[in-house]
Parts: sequence; structure tokens; C-alpha cells
Amino acid sequence: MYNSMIKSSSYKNKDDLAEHQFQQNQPLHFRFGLPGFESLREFRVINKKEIAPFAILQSLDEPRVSMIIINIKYLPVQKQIRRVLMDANRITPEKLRKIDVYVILKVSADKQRLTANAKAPLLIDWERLAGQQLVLERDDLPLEYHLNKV
Amino acid sequence: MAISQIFDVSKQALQNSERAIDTISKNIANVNTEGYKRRLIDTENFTGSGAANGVDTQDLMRARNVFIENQLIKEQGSLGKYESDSAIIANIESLFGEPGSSGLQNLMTEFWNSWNDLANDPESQSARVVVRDKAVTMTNAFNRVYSDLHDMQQEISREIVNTVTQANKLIRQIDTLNRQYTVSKSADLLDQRDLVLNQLSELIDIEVKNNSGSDLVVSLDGQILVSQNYVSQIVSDASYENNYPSYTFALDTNKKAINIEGGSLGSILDINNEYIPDYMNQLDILAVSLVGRINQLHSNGYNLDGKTGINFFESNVSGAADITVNRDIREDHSLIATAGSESAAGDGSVAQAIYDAQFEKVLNNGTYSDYYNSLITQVGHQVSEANFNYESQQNIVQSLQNQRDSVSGVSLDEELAKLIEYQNAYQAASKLIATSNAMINSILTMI
Amino acid sequence: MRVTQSMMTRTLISNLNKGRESMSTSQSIMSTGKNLQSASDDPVKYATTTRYKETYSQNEQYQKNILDAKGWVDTTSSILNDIYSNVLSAKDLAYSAADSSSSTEELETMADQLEGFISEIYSLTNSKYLGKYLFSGTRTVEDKPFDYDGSTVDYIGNEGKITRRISEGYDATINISGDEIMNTDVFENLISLRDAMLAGDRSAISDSIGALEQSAQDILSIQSKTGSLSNLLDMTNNRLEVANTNLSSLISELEDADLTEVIAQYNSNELAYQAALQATSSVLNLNILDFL
Repeated sequence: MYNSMIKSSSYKNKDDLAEHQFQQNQPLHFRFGLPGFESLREFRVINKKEIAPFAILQSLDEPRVSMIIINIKYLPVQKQIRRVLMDANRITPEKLRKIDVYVILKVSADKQRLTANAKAPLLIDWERLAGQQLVLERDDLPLEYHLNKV
Repeated sequence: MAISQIFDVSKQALQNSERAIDTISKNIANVNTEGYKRRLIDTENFTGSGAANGVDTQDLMRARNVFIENQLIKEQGSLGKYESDSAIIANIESLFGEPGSSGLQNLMTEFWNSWNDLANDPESQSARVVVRDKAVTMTNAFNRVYSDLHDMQQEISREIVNTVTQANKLIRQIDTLNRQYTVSKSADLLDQRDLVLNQLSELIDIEVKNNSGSDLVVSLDGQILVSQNYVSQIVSDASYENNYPSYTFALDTNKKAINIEGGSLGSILDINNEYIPDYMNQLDILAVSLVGRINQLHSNGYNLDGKTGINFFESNVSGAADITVNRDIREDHSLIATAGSESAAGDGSVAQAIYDAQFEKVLNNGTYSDYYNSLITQVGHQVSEANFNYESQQNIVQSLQNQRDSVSGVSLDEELAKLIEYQNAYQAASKLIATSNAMINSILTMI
Repeated sequence: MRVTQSMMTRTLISNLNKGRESMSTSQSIMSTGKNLQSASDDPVKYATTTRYKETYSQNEQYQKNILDAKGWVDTTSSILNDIYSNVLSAKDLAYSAADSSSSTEELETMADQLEGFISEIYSLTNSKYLGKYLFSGTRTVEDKPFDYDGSTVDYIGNEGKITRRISEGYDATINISGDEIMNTDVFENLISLRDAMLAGDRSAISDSIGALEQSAQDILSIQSKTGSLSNLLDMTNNRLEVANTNLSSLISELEDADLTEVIAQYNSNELAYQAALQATSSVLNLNILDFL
């Protein structure tokens, strides 16, 4: 419900919304791959209702490589991440508005905790259909950000 | 019709009913007897065509579908093989213990890492101790896996001998039953023979012909095992290469090589002659290659006392069975070399080069780890394939067994229904006889 | 400024602590490998997972190497910094000495002070870290690299490189060998200055200021090289951590049940509510900025 609320209210008209939804299904080009998977350059973001607000980042080159991601707008840490992106990485506020920022999730070995990698968010530019995982050289952004206070 | 003729007809009817009831009783009594094939009642089907083809009437008494039975024998051969493959190869897989912290994969990783830690601290003796210890643990694992494979092979050797003995026993049983049958033809003997054939088919991939009487021919790889007045026995021969026995078979009657590809014997034969030697060979190649390369790098290096030309592993090794750390190093870890030149204690370049050896594409264009990984994956595939085949084959055999049983099996309901029918017929016949008797008596008294 | 043992120890300890904090705290599914069954369960998956685990383990080794390198490099940097400070102080002294108003006695006193700086720098260049000489090339334990007999300083270490494997196939040289320090002529210039002071040769003293200036610059540039290396180590470490985190994030390494269970756990009302809150506020922001 909140998904559609967000989408529809941030687009001026239905065409923009349709365009955005179409873009979301296009393959994304990652110029540098991902750390640990530098040779994988093509990915898709798969949105499935059953797992919303989570989504899946799927490698198109290597089917075994897929990860759970979530848009930072659902997380309290988003402010911090945005600020670091603007300050330290010189991404302009305008640019930041045009891209989606996700974080990659990890399940701990004991399966008790779901954490997000806030230190290296995923930046996706839907206009240029490009993506990159940016490693933020910051000690204050954790590699394992706990998702809620459970 | 004359009264006496009626008498004869009734008597015949009575006898028929009696025989039928006997047959039905026998069927009912043997409902749980393994291998028992339902006996047909005289009036059911078996006159005519069968007799014309010279098939034994004894066999014709049994309700059966020869085609299905022969199919079953064939498929049981495959089942025996897959069942055995499935169990044994799974055991072999568990010998390797992968994935696991004491598996070679992990021990090799720890071995390589210890060299990098030494390269970071080449002045240290304690880092050398770790390198030596990791190497010893790793070589022990090589030795152990190899030795476990060897033990398994010996068990299989025994199993081969036992299976051949067992098969030969069954072959002789068939021959005995054949001879007994020639003397006193009985469907019971044929039932027993079928049973033995089935047991034999699980051990070796036999073919049967004329499976309906005295003309039965049982063969294996085109050579006759049993036929009328003929029996042979399987003889095994082992040829040794590097202390490893490879088995071949022949028949005692003609010494021509015989290929056994199915049944449990086919399975253990392949495992003994091909699979295990292949695994051992791969482990040997891995070990020898590792020893050669690391010794080459290590002997070019210097330890803290300026000593050089020292091998890290014992160089004169055959492979995984005896790969071991140089005994001098085992006793004195300070002999471990790290530097590329003398008097440079902080030079860890040789240790670093040894760490780097793990990335060299030296075996089949892959690293040592790739090579080992592919061995484990190969075994994994073989287990998974054997399991799959075993499962599917079980379905095939079960289906054939059901089909066979539907023809040859005894259905109590059916038999009881027939019993009632024939009991009625018997009663009717007796009544007829009684009436005829009465009529004859009345005629006689009248005279 | 004198460098004490405790300062160096403190640097070491703080480096070790930083390193420990930056490594992830929980055990990864990659390191425990609990979800990986035997090869026969899924031979293809086994092969790829084993490769991932290998990469993971190698990355961990590289991180360990980086931690080790950081200790060495940061200590080197700190010592170079101290040497630099000493050279600056010496330069100040030279300025004072060049001033014609200082007397011969004052010059002698300054020469003594200068000797103090020379001693200090000499001691710093013979520093050890975890028992190894920092500036001796690869002759890390044999003899002390710098030898001062009062009139010259000799370097008897070698030019060997000490390297650490910090990522696949990449060795970083972590040491500054003594000959790099010798090439700055720092000792030569300081000793000439001292001798000039003792001789009362003011023109020689002022001539020496330029040379000392150059030595200081050279030392500073070596130190900043070390500083850059330290940053490179940090960045490489971060990237390795992220690579390993990515490896641990692969869905394929989880069992399906884990995934649904965990997501169900977190896809709760609380998260949705938070999301709705965040979403509303960010929507407002977007709208305002879009339409201004």
C-alpha cells in the first residue's frame, strides 16, 4: 500500500510512473561489477510482491549470484548514508534525488540476524540504467547494520 | 443316453471337480510362498497351442507371462548394479569428508595460509612451527584418505570373491533343479528354479532363453552358464599392478574372458577396477605435483642460518600414500626457508612464492585446489547419478513385479470364488451319481 | 621531541584495535560453511560454493596481511614524523646560530643541542617494531642499520623490500629502507652544521640551512608516501571486507527456508510503519525540491 502511495505521489503524471516501472525492469550495467564479483557487469533488480519492501539484485551473467536488497528509504540510517554520499563523495542533492540507493542484506550464520551493509551502498541510476556499489571510507557506517531492534 | 454313460460322465465331472479343488487348495495354501506361480485349473487355457509347441505341460500349469519374467530378470540385473553403486560410492564420498574442517580442501587452505603468515614474519621461529604443523596435518590427511581407499578396496576384493562364490552356488542349484526336473517333472521345481534365477540376476547380468521347461539356457556375456545337462562355473583372476588387484573373469569350461557389467558383481567390479584406481591416481598426481613444486621453490630459499638446498617434503615419494614432510624439518623447524638470499632475515620472498604456488595453473590448466575440487565433484556426480539410477530402476522393477504378480500371483478372493463354483459342481456331480446310482439300483431291483 | 617506547606501543595497540573493529563481528555463512552439504547433494552447487569459500578465505588472509602491514607502516610514519620534527628543530637552531649576535659559547651550546637532535634521529632510525629494525631493508634482525661514530653515520642495512600481499597478486612494499633516508643527506647535513657551529663558521652555518631545508622536505615526502600507503591499505581493506560481505550475502548460499523465515521476521508492521514514516517525509522533500 505504501509502495504505491510513494510511487504515485512522486510522479507528476501516469506516464512518468509507467516509464519508471518499465525502467525498473531493465538490465543495469555495472561498470566495475561488485567488490568480489568484478567481472559481473549486468544485473537486474527484481521486485516481488511477496518479499516487498525487499527486492533481489540478480546477476544476469551468473545465475548463482543474487542478493537481497532494500531501498534505504525504509531504514533510519538513510539520512546518514545520504549525508555521507553528498559530503564525502560529492554527489549533488539533485543527482541523489535521481538515483535509488539500496543496501545489500546478509543473514548471519546462526540465522538470527538480518543485517544491511551500510558501508557500501548500491547506487542505481534508472535513467542511465547504470549501477555501482560504492565503498564509503567511513568508520561510522557499519558493515552490519541491524535492521530493527528485535 | 445309457444310464451307465451318465455314470461315466458324472464320474468324469466329479474327478474334474476334485482336481480343480485340489489345485485351488494348493494355490490358497501357497498364497504367501515366495516364487509360487498360481496353478491353472485344467480347463483354463493350457491345452492346444502350448502343447503343439512342445512346451512342457508342467510349465503350462503355471500362470505366467514369460516375457515379463525375462524382462524382470534383465532389469533386476541393473537394479543390483545401481543399488550397489549407490551404497558403495556414497561410502567412498564420505571418506573424503568434504566439506569439512578436516577435509583436504580446508587443510590445504590452512597450509597455504601458514606460508603467508610466515612471509609476514620470516624472522620468526614460531611461524615456522605453524607451517610445519599445518603441513604435517595436511600430509597426514593425504595418507589417511589414501589408506581408507585402500582398505575399502580390500573389502571390495573380499566381496568380489564372496559374490562369485554365491553366484556359482546359485548356478549349480539351477543345474541341480534342471536334473531333478528331467527325472520328475513338477511345477514346484520350476517355481524354485525361477526363484534361483531371480536371485542370480541380482548378482550378475544373466540372460535367459526358453524359460519354460527343460530347455532353459542361462548365459552371461554370450557364454552359457547352465543349459540342459551343462553347467559351468565362474572363475576369477586378479592381476596386480603396484600392489593393486584388477579382476577379470572367465568360465572354467572354456577360459574365454567374460564381461560382467550388471548385477552387484558388475558394480563392485567397476568400482574396484576403475573408480577406486582413478581416485587414487588423482590423489597421487596431486601429491606428487605439490611435493615437486614446493620442494623446487623451497630448496632455492635460505633459512635464518643461511642454509639452502633443503627439501620441504620427502622427495622420494610415490604419491598420496607416503607424502610427508622432510624428516629433518620435522625434527628442526628452523630449517624452513623463507628468504631469497642469505643474511636477510626480513626477506620472506620464498615463503611468499610458496604461498603463490596455490595460484599456479599446474594441473589440467587448473590449480591444486581446482584439481582436488574436481575430484570431489566427480565423486559427487557419481553418487548422485547412482542414486538417481537406483531410484528410477526401483520403479521399473517394482512395476514389472506388479505385472508379473498380477498374472502369477494368487488372489485369495479369486480362488475362493472358484472354490465355491467347483464345490457346487462337485455337489451337482455327486447328486448326479447318486441319482444314477439310485436309478441303476431301481433298475436292478426291478429285474 | 623525543619518541618514547610507550608512544610506539600505543600506536601499535591503536592500530590493532582499529583493525579488529573493522572486521565483521559475526561469523559468516562463508566461514562456517554450515549450509554446504556433501557434493552429491548438488555437485554443481558444491563446485561453485567451494570456489567462493576459497576466495573468502584468501580475502581474509589479505585482510590479516593488511593489518600486519598497517602496524609496520603506521609506526614508520609516526617515526618519520618525529624525525621530521627533529630536523625542523635543528633548522630553527641553525637560524639562531646564523644570527651574528650569538657568541662562541652560545654556538657551542647550540652545537650540543644539535648533537642531541642528531642522537635522537639516529636512535629513531634504528627503531624496532615487534623486534625488527624498521629501516634496515630486509636485514631486520642482524645488526642495527645505522652506525654513528660521532663523525659519520654509515648505513649497513640493505635495500631489500619488505612486502605484504594485500590483494590478489598485489604485493605492497611496506618498508622505507635506510638508503632512502641516507639519500636525504639528513645526517650529513646535520653533522656539517654541528661542525660549523663548533668552528664558529657563520657563513657555513647559513649555507647549511638550505640543505637542511631540503632534507626536511625529503623526509616529509617519504613520510607522506607512507601516509598514502596507509590510506591505500585502509581502502583495500574496506574493499576486501565488502567483497567478503557480498560473498556472505549470496542467496544461493542460504537454504530457502532460512530466507523466507528471516524475511518474514523482518517484514513486520514495525518496519512497514517506519518505512511509511520515512517515505512520507522523503516524498515531501522530493515534492518541495522538485517544484521550487
